Amino acid sequence: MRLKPSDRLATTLALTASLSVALLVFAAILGTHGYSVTGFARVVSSGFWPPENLSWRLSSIFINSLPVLFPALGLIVAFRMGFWNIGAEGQLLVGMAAATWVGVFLADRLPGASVLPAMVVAAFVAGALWAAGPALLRVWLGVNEVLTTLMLNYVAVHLVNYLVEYRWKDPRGFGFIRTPPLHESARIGAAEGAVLVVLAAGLVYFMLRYTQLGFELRIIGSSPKAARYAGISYAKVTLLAMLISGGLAGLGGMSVVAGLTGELMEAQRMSPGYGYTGIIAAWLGRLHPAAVVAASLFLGLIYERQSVLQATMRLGVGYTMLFNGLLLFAAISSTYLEKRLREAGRLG
Amino acid sequence: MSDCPVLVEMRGIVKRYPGVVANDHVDFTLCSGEIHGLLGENGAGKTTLMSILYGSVKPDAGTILVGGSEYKPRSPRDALKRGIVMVHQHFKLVETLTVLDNIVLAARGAGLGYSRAELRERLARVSERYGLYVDPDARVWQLSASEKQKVELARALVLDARILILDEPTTVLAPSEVEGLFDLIRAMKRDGRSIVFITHRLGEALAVCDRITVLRKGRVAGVIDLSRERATPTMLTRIMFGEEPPPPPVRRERRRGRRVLLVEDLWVRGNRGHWAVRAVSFNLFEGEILGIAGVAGNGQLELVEAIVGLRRPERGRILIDGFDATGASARVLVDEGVAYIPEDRVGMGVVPGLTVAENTVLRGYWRRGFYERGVIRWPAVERHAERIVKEFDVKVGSVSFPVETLSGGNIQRLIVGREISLGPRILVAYNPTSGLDARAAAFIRRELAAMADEGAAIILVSEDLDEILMLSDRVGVMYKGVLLGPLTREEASREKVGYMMATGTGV
Repeated sequence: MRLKPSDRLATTLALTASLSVALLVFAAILGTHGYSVTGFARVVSSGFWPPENLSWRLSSIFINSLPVLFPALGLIVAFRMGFWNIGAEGQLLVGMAAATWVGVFLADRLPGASVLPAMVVAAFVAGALWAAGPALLRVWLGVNEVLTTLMLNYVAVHLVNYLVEYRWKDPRGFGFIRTPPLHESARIGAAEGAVLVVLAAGLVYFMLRYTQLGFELRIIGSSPKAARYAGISYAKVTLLAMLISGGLAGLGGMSVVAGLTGELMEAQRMSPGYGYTGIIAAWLGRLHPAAVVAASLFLGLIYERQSVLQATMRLGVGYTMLFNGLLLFAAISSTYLEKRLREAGRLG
Repeated sequence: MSDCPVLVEMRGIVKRYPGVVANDHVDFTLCSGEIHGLLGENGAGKTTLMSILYGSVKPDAGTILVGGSEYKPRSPRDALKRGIVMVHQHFKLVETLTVLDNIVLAARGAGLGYSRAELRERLARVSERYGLYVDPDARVWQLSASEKQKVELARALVLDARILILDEPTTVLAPSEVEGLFDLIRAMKRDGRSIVFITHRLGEALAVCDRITVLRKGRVAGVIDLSRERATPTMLTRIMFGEEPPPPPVRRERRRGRRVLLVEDLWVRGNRGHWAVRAVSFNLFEGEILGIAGVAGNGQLELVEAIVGLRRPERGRILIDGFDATGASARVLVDEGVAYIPEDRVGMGVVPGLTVAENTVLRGYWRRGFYERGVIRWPAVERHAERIVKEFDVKVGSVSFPVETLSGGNIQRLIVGREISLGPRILVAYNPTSGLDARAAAFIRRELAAMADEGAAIILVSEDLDEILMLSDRVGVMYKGVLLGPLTREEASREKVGYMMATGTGV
């Protein structure tokens, strides 16, 4: 966990170098497709400049980062133990549905102050249960979690679409496929989001560093054989880690409906793949909570600027996905570079 | 220096690693058709020097001539082109492939144009000629360590290696198998091949080599031509260590106390589903060391893993002081006072990516003092780690460094320190000194002896018969899953135990 100063320098250098390459490649693609690279840079930096209304824009960026941030925090937990949860997207979608159910159909029957806590619990539990299936299959039958978690993403898409189309569709919605709007008490802003982020990131950090579960999953992640020697139950740790991982992804789903849209629509319109982007954020932050929060905020900026890019430059959402893909590529290839730099550092 | 036909000449080889100079201006010559011993303690630079010849490590300085022409290998592939093959201490075989597939893979990698059928044919011929019988269609993971070694040797011969570098080849063999390997090495020499035999065992070097180069702390401490001068173990020891060897362990007391462990009619399956342990029963008493000898793969590992909670027995009972420990988890057994020093240090004994401090509580992080009110107390863990580092002389800059920066000997000191600090009633040690230099091995043997003197019950499984006879109060032999004996200390002569290991009879 703790790195020597020279190793930390190697990490920073490697990440900076590979991210720069990713940006250059992206700029080159924009250029060859006839888009203005400086225009792109201007739009992205306009998130921070000019300073008028800056606090509004910053909070907008922050809220846009939440759907990536929560799944990414959860993925830290799974990835640290080497459990390859590719299902944050599905866990996010079911969490979103559960939060919608509370926010739309239960909110007026609950005392105002308990609506948000109830949504948090519902979203967390739904995401956790969605993740528990692959964990149990892995533990009982040895089924590869990459396949099960990934496939459940598609199931979740159709589940959300079914709910919104056949069960929860707003009768006064002029035929649009969407639920009635969330109750006022079920909406969150930057302040509530910040509280949740601090809580979630703090808990993940504390769990990894100070609890038996956290130590055990770090041991499993480094050496399953040593974990057996330490008497650690792989089944127990896997299940608990996946409950946490899925639950946090579920919170990400809640942040979409409660922070951004205010209503549930078809899955494709709710998430451009936040759960997958969470994987990118987790690796960019090298599975460390604070760094993952920072990486998520950066990705949130891109998402927030997306609509502006679309409006001013006619830059489609495909380019955002391309950009994110390049980032993941950079994050993963930087580990190789880092290794070489560390070796060089040790020799020199 | 020597008038033999020089085949390899390494001059002024320098290789630095952070904090150490592994090779400090080393000169080394290998003659054609000779068996050349490379002797030295662990960390003396033997493997580094040969890895440079093999092309897997790049030297910082120095030149190499092979057959008179300059040789600058960029990878083992270049080495193979000059007929140089290294058989590593840790085998470089693809476990999931068959023996033949591994050979095909190596031949393709070396750019040799043999077809699969030709390689099968060559393997059969090599097997015939050298008595290296291996099933070409067996999967490598199914093979024992000594069989894997045969595969590596056969592969080298199929690829027509002229220079074979064998890195500590006897560590995976039983005493009775060592002679077979030596015969093989001599047969290869008769065919005009040259062999570099890396070892830290004096007796073996004297038994088989024509010349010996001794390395000490990265430098050549001496070159002995055994055809011209007589060498004795004492003389070699002095060259190796530059001083007297470390003292052997002393048992002050040999007093047997209460019975702490009862194993009754134990049956355990191995990884392939076969009966690895058959109807084993024995007692273990306070203050004694029960040595378990045997050729690797005769059920020792499965027996021990059942006792320490890493493998569930199918039948039978394990009682610790009356507590039924049959099938209990490793964690429960740690709390029952069962410590275990596993053979696989780096793979099982530690978590290489975690810090030294974290590794000192790998078994015991749940105990009071380290874990209180739902939180692991890292400052307490670090103090504990510093005590272990100091008491067991683990060489590391800080307990917050990852264990992967430690050498093998230091990792073993760390493991032994951790297990002893658990305060065990029963300590199980599996090949605790294999691959360690004489100093570290002596240190660990002294610790085991002291533990027994203080009343702990110790099970010592070792493939090193001398170690077993030196330390044990009783000696059992595992043969095809059955425990023979145990013999008392007086009955257990080297010949008798060796005979039991080889034949399974003679009680």
